[in-house]
Formats: sequence, structure tokens, C-alpha cells
Amino acid sequence: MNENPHNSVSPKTIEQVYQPVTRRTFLKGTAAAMAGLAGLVAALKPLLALERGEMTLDDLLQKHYRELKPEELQRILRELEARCAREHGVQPVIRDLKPLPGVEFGYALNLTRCIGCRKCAHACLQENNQSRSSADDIEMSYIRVLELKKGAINLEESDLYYNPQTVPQKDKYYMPVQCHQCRQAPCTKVCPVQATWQEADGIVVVDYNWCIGCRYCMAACPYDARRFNYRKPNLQSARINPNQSYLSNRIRPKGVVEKCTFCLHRTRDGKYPACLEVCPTGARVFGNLLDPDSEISYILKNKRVYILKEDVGTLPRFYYFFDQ
Amino acid sequence: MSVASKMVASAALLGGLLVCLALLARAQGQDPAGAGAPPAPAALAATAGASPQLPLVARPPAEQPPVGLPGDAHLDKTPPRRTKGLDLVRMGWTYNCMECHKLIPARWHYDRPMAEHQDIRLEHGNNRFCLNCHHPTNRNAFVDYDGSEIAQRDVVLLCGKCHGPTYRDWEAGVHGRANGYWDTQKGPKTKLRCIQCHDPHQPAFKPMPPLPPLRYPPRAAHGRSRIERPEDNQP
Repeated sequence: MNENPHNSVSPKTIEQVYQPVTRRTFLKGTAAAMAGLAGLVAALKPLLALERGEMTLDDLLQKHYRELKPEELQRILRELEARCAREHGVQPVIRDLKPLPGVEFGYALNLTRCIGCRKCAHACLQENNQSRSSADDIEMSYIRVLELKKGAINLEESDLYYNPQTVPQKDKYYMPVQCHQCRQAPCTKVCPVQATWQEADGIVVVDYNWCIGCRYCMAACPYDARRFNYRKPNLQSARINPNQSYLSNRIRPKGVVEKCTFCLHRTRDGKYPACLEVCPTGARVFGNLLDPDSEISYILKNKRVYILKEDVGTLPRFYYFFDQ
Repeated sequence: MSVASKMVASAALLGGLLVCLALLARAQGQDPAGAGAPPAPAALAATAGASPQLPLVARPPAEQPPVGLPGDAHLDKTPPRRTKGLDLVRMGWTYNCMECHKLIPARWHYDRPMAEHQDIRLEHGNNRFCLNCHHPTNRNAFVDYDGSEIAQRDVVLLCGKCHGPTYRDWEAGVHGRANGYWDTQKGPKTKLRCIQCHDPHQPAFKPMPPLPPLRYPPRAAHGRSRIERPEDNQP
């Protein structure tokens, strides 16, 4: 019989038809199953903390800060207070302060007046419950005071660990850098779980209970303003500031990112931030950008203002200015 | 007769002594350095141009009440000026300059060391003349352009005579220390005045030792993960 070459079907082998388990497929399948199992165990690992009593079911099922009902939030605040009292021996007052209507915070720093005494950075540690008692640990101050050579703003040649006998040094000037509370904040855009966002008064905050610790925001920040809790905070109870709030200086858990909040537990109360309170030369100016008579508005109107890394387009609410 | 005249003389002496005592007591009552008494409302109301909640500056800065809020005890809010007090004050005199100067007239010092007030060294730029600031007859006051008196608590107006732009900034709350509340509807804002931070005779800030460097994560520290210590350089 003439066979039509177009109809010819090559016979399949029995292995091709039934695909039996070979050594290769068995190993592949086992590896995939092990990986899946490991992933499942990792996903369920928080349940171990539940088992050990380190967290409650409510903690595990807690919603995002902005989805919490007021009574749920109050219950969480009381629990956080109790936990702080239990673990650190200090009874704090943890509040939840909402943005004030008609207020947008702005900060200005006088580069002519700053003498680099680092009082702001140390006050920040104390105010925001970041004091670490171990000498090997990274201190989490949100403020980095850079020493720069006069004549240019060259951050690459700046020195963070300057330690002369006295400051200011003659040919140097000093630039404290902290969170700029950008209007176009890259850190909030990269967060995969929206654990960080910008409040109505311009402050970029972190929900420490929602943060998963991926540190994308730290990579995105052009000002290196964010800090990561690699360890459980190791605080001396005598140095704990009991005036705390949910979004700012309550004691953070391990594995979350934190940042400067312009001391919102103070500023939303009408007070100045701690770094401004201690500045011996009055180089720091804080106020409401929406109030045309405020100090910060006076600076924007009357002074030569410099914006750090203006070219990255983050539109900061933190300004540097010069007197002379 | 002689007995009567002696009695009159002793009565006059006693009366004079009493008057002296009364004067002394009055002078001490007026002494602004005394006992930290709260300022009289009338005195504050008479203050021109200054906010009424400002503290009196007649006390030396070393004795000023702490600035800022009492709840912020964990924050170090000391202004940079450290004063030891005038030598004469340490010898027991007060800051009421007229205790001496009602007897000792002003001398027109210019660019030469003073025989008195040896502890004062004037390093105020081109301003090398005591009576540019001090009133020639009332040593408790400062002097304005036209020779009228500027009260000690209005010292800002005196400094504003030359430092106009700085005075304008201070008025706007941009120069100098501010403590307390930015929202004045919620609480008081304290502004320090010129001489609470600047020594008027040497107004430039003295260099101060910096607080020790903190430890930052490597990325924030531009690759330097920790403070370099001298022993690091040794092999």
C-alpha cells in the first residue's frame, strides 16, 4: 500500500505516552515538594510565636492602622502599654495623635549657625526610645551630622564620625541630615504592603505592626533617613521616654523599619520637636507651612534656601538656609 | 544746754542712720537679682516692644530658670553661654550697678584696659567703647541713640541698634532659641534674648566639645561601619 507521507505518524514510545516516574522526575518532584513545604513552614512560623505566647491572636490578625476602628485601636494601645510595662518596667502613655487640620509641617535648618555639637542627634535617641545599652549595637539616631569642607556642598567627602576637641572647626561647616518628609516620597511608593504612607500634615509614618521588614524603603530613600531594627531594642528602663505614640516613638519590635516623624507625639500636641529644643544655637526652625505668619514661612520668603538633592525630585519639607 | 544739744545731735545721728537703713532696704528691694521674685505686672506692662511672657534678664544667665517645658527634663536645653558672674558680684555685690556708680562717675574708656572690672574683656568687633551700650549716668540701663535709657529687660532693642537684620529675624522667631510650643494657642513659647546666649562683651560663641559620634548602619555612614579608633591603624 502506498503510504501518504503526509499522514505518516511516527510511533510514540511507551515512555512518551505514559510518562512514568523516572529517577529524574522523582528527584525534581521531591525537591519541589520540599521547597513548598519549607515555604509553608516559613509562612506559618509566626504561629510558633503565638504558641510560645509572645504574641496573641489579636496581634496576628491585627488590621492595617488605617483600617482599624477606634475601639480596636484603643485596645491595641492599651496592650502595647501593658507589654512595655511588662518587658521594660516602665508604664508609658501611648497615644494616637491625628494630624491637625490646617497644618502642614516644615523644618528649616540654618547652615550658618549649626556648629556640629551633635546635641540634636543625642536628644533624638532619648526622645524616640532608641538608646541602646550595648556598645556593639548600632544606635538608631535619625539625625546624621555631616562635617563638610567650606566652599562646596560635597557630601561624598563629608565626615560622619568627626570628633575634634572642639567644634566648630575653622574650615568646616556642619549639615545635619534627617528625614525630609518629602511630598513625593519614594519610600512610600516602594513599600509592597503600604506599611508606610504620608499623613495629612505631611509626616511620613510607619505602621510598625504592619511592616514586613523588606527594607525596600531604605533602599529608596535618597537621604538615608530610615533605620532597621536588626535586633530587639535593648533599652535601659531609666532612659525610656514614657510619652509615646503609636506611629512615632513607641518601642519598636525587631525586624521593622523606623524613621524620623518630626516627633509627632510632640508636634501634634503643639510642642517643638526634641532636636529643636536642644539646639544651643537656635539653628533649627520648625512650624506650619500653611500659616503665612509662621517662622518657617518667614524663612521661605526671606532667606536663601537650599534643598538637599533637589534634583531627585522628592520635594522635601526640610530646607537648609543661610544667614550670610 | 550742752546736754540738750548732745541729745539733738544723737537724735539726728539716729535719724540719719534710720534713713540710710531704709534707703539700703529700698535699694535691695529694687534689686532685680534678689531672690528670683516674680516681676511686677506694672514693670512688664511698661516694657515696650517685648513680649510680656519673657523672663527678666537682669539676673545673670547662670541663674536663669531652665528654658523649655518641665516635662522635657530628659532633654539638655542649656544655652551655650556659661557665665561665672562678675568678680564684684562674687564678692557679694549685686547686679544693681548703681550701688557703686551713684558715687563713681562714668569714665570714658576707649581701647585701654580698665582699672576696675578687670574680669571684663571687650571683644565685640569694632564696638570698643563702654558707653556705646552702657548709659553714662544710669548704669542699670543701656543707652539709645538719643541718649535716652533702654531698660535692662529691653536689651534686644539695644542690640538691634547695630544688628538690624538679626533683630528682625529674632522678632520673627528665626534667630535664636525658641522652646516650648510652636502652636501658641496650646501653650507658651519662650524666646531667649541676646545676652542669654551671647556674652555681650565677647559675643562670639566659644567653641564647645562635641558630643561623641553615634554608630550608624554602613550605608548611612558612607561605607564606614563604625568609628575608627587609633588602634585600628596599628598592624
